[in-house]
Amino acid sequence: MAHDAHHHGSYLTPKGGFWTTVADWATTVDHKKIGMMYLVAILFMFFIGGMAAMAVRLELFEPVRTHVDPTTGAAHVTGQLFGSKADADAGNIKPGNNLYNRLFTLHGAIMVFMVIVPSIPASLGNFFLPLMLGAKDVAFPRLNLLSWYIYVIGSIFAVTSIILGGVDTGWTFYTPYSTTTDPGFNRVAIMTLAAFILGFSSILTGLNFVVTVHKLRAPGMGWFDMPLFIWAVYAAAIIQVLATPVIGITLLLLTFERIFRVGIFDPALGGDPVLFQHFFWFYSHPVVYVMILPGMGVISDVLAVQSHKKIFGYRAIAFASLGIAGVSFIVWGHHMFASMSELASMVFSALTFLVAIPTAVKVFNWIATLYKGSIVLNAPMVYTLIFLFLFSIGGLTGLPLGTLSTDLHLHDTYFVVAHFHYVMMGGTIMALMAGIHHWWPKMTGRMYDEKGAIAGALLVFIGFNLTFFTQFFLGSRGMPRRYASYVDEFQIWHQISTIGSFVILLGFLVHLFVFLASLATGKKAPANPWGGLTLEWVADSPPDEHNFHHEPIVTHGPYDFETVVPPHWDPKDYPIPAENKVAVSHH
Amino acid sequence: MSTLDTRDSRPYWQRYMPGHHWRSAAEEFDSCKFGFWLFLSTEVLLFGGIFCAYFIFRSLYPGAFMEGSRALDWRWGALNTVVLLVSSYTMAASIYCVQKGLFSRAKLNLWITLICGLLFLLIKFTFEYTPKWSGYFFVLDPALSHHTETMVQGKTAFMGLFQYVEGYGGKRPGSLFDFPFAKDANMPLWWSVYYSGTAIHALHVIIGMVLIARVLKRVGQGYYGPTHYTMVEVSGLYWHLVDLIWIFLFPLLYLIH
Amino acid sequence: MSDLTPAMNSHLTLGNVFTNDWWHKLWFRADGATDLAQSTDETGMWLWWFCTLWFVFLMALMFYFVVKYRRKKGQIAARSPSHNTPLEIAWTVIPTLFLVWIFFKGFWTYMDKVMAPGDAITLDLTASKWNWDLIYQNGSRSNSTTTIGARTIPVFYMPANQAIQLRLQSADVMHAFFVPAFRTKQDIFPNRFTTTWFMANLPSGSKTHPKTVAEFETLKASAAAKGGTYSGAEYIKGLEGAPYEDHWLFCAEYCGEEHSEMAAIIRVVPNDEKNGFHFNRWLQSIGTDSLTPLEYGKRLYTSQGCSQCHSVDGKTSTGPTWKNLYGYPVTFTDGTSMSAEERTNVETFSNYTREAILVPGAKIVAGFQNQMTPYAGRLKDRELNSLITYIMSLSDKAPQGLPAGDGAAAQPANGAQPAPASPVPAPVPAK
Repeated sequence: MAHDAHHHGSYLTPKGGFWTTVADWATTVDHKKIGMMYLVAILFMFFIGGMAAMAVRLELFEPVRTHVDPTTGAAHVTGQLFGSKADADAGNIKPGNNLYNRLFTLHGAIMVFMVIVPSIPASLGNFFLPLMLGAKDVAFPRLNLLSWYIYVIGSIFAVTSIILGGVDTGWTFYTPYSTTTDPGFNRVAIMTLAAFILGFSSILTGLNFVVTVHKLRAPGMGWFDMPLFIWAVYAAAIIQVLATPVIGITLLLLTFERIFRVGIFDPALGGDPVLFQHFFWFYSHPVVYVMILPGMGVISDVLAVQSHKKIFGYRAIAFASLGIAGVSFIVWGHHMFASMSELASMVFSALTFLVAIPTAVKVFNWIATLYKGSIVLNAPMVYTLIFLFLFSIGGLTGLPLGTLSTDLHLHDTYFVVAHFHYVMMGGTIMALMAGIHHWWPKMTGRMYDEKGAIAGALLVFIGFNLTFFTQFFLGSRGMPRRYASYVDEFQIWHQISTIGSFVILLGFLVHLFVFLASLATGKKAPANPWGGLTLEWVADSPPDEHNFHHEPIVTHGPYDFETVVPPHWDPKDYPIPAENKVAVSHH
Repeated sequence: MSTLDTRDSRPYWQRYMPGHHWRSAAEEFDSCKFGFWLFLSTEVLLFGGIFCAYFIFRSLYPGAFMEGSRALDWRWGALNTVVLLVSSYTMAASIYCVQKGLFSRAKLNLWITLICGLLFLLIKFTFEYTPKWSGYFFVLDPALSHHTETMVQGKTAFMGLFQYVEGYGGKRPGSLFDFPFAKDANMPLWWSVYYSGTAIHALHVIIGMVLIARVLKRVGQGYYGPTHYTMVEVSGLYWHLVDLIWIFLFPLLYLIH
Repeated sequence: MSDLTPAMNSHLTLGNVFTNDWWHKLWFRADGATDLAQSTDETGMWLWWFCTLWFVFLMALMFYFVVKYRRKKGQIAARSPSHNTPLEIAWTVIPTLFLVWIFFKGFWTYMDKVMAPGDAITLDLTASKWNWDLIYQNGSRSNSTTTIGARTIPVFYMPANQAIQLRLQSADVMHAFFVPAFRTKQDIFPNRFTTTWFMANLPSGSKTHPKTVAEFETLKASAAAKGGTYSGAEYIKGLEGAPYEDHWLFCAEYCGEEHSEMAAIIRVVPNDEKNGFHFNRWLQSIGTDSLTPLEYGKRLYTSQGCSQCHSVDGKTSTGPTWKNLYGYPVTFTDGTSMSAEERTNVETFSNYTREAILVPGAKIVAGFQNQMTPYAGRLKDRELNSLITYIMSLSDKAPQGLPAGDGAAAQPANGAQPAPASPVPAPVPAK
């Protein structure tokens, strides 16, 4: 398609009155609008899941103690945030514990299924995949809209289950607890159906991305000319397509078991709870790489642009992404060392160490990229550094969990909770924040306040470490997870952790304020504020409805900062020394 | 989709323009097929879970699985297999017809495919599921001849079309399935695998039929033709997968003793 | 609940900041209470130092680069290599070598942790919502408890320096056995047995049983005066002044409303000639008003009708004899078989025998017919476990942790001297 003569204005320009605009967004097949809707929904669900977490941390500030009055012999309860006064006076801790159990399940289910799995692919991926490839849209725009609506419907199912009282099985739904709890109600079935539906949203998004990357690259863009963000999202999309159906069938069978008593996981029916664990983790381990790979892709791109430096080891990072995706399918058993045979445990432990290598290599490559760079410490860069710090801790603490003898001690303790928060929140969420700030000018056409954003980032960073580093100690000192209360010796650690969670909350509130201020009164953003070289910076800020005015043709690599003036930049502001121009090749 | 000049009186399939983000109609067709094959792989993995459960429990409890498959009448399963094979043939034939512009023959083939699908579901529900759940046999069911002593004369349902047999039917899944002749305590597992596998497959048959019905309607409206038949091809792929899954389910459930 | 750990030296000096000791106590609070726990800690500390040093190095490098290479206006980044093959190979191979070493280190200790030694005493522990139920060799349950607020949790006495294997099962949903001091954990299921084992070290001597009833009352009163409850050992006749060490037992698999309250105490006391046979005395003190698992199993052998088809002396009958089943191989009618080695593993043998009683049609021993009535739903867990223990005892390869039944193991086959008396005396008849 040659020169597109239609200048429709930016994708954000309203088409008419309020209801016309609503109808336009509700029926849009424009990947940018769909990406924005996902972004808002994901951030909203993040807030809901976060509120559940705050409630959990508040409850854990004090252990639940039952006191017996020596004279009357009556029992009463202190330290329980949930539960009514009547229960507390009667010494009955069960209702409060029950509410706690529902809240931590809610936190897990919302965060995993509605926030982190879609997070970067559905929002930033949808928005930028076509732009970075120089395409007008994804391969199947209507399927994209269908994915969005499936996400909405799945979330409605989940919210329905919550409104009806919620479930207390933990987000992992282990049998036979999940097949026997709450008899007579179908809240568990509604929640498992919600996750099943959300799985389809994920599958269709992944499918769309794989075909887009194969078929819609701009002329001149070979596989090794693509930005690393695309490689990362592509690898994650492959996992989404292949792994998600397995959780689909697992949850479907679990739902059948609850409703029809047709089952293969409940021992009362002759089934096997360990089989459920195998089915469940066969998906749920690869999915954690769906969660982190796109985040790593964001970091690669943000790092390169904000330090105006070619990424060190491009091919290593590209192949490491594919390698991680492949190996992720064969390590699921490391979630089950305490329930599997010795032989299986040995095999899975050895394979688990295998997946640590490409991950470590990526971290080394990123740090090496900083060498001799030209680094600007703005909010995206600060979040990138925060990612490198927190994700390294998360990744390294995976080692004692993969080691068999130490895992027998640490499994199902707060050590695991700390580890996965470091990689999922300290990794994916920090990468999401880096990406949002990096691409904010492009998506909204406005700049945000740097100082406010950096203040928010530092608050989140400090709060995060306070909250979760203490949990490593809690775990190795013996505190099990999913506990509504605990013995006295753990209290000081829990108190520090709860205080940290408030600091995190404060940090995100600062961000919210910065975002709203930017939308209301932010400076108009130039097309290429950071000097990036990938194709999204060629488009306007915010992009035109059809993305590009002319079909882009690729003549340089995505990170050729030493030899190429960034699009829309005045060459006077970007003097390339003569020695850089010698022996130019774009790899 | 694409801008069409409404004054153009050619059939839709001749006026068809691919989505504006594609460079050509051929690229769109190739990409749609590629995307659909990816989707089919997800379906294979979905059923893979059921086959995995089958093999694991079969190796743990071979007795239950042998007895269970004896409780099924292989003749109904074989009939259903033939029905689906025929429908796969007519589906492929309809794609060929559309490619050649033979629209009325294409419609005939699609109708036969739909009818075969309906027949499959009817056989499954009437002759296989209903007797097991409720004890009610269809009056023309040849299996009734084996139960003449336990037949309860006069106890019929559905305008006399279904005849009740005492003691045959188990309870409908919904209360712990309890097949009355089972000696093996692990029979519920066999029935779980049987019902999950065949029910999820039947659901896919229904989805396939919806796709084919839509294609049928649109062939009649001139939507598809020799230069534009993506949906027909894609629906055909889906139907062939549905058939293929049955080809695996049938011997595993009905034939292996 | 007050401090369970023994008093430890917590003075921080410049010297011990750089030794393992201070960091080790920060991570684990106290030394592991078994030898395997201590070797797990050693692996843990190697990992800790490796991770910390790598992390500090990487972050230092990162911050250094960020400061040194800040953007200067009007200056473009200089050309620099975009890859360096020798460096990349080095930073791939060296971590790999370390990881291979750590894998093996973790693997060897793990194998020791999951395979109980042959002289382990096997006890049955049943987890349910939300209790622990342990049955000792003499058929009794512990009568020691401790109170946390209004909740009473059991105290399980254990002998030091003796391998104890627990045969675990659940009465309802999944649970898990977790003793942080032993650095070990095992999931518990309702449909099969799992096992775990430990050999606790001698108590440090910092806590002792009250010597008199009066002392016990004083301890209780002073705790109450501070607004709490006394959680240490009570006065037990025969254990005056006996040293002990308490370890938490937590449930580590979410099981419902009182998952966090499902705790118990494992109380280790010495049980040898040098320090005194405190555990034996405690076992005697709790009395034996119930049958030992062995006696109970023997009774069930007749009362449940097993004797009609199974002999215990080796004679073939309608069903296989129960003599010499444990530790011996077997072949089934479908051609599969179990090796002697598999049948020596307590967990594997128990799971097989349980299935053979509940669902006999699943595996028929070669040479016999499928005629046995299934006992599913007719035997309670305790009855089943006792039958299994009885069947195990009828083998001349019976594990030492089971007292010999019916004279079958009294004379070892090769005429060698009988095994020395196990540290646990034969159960004392009811008083």
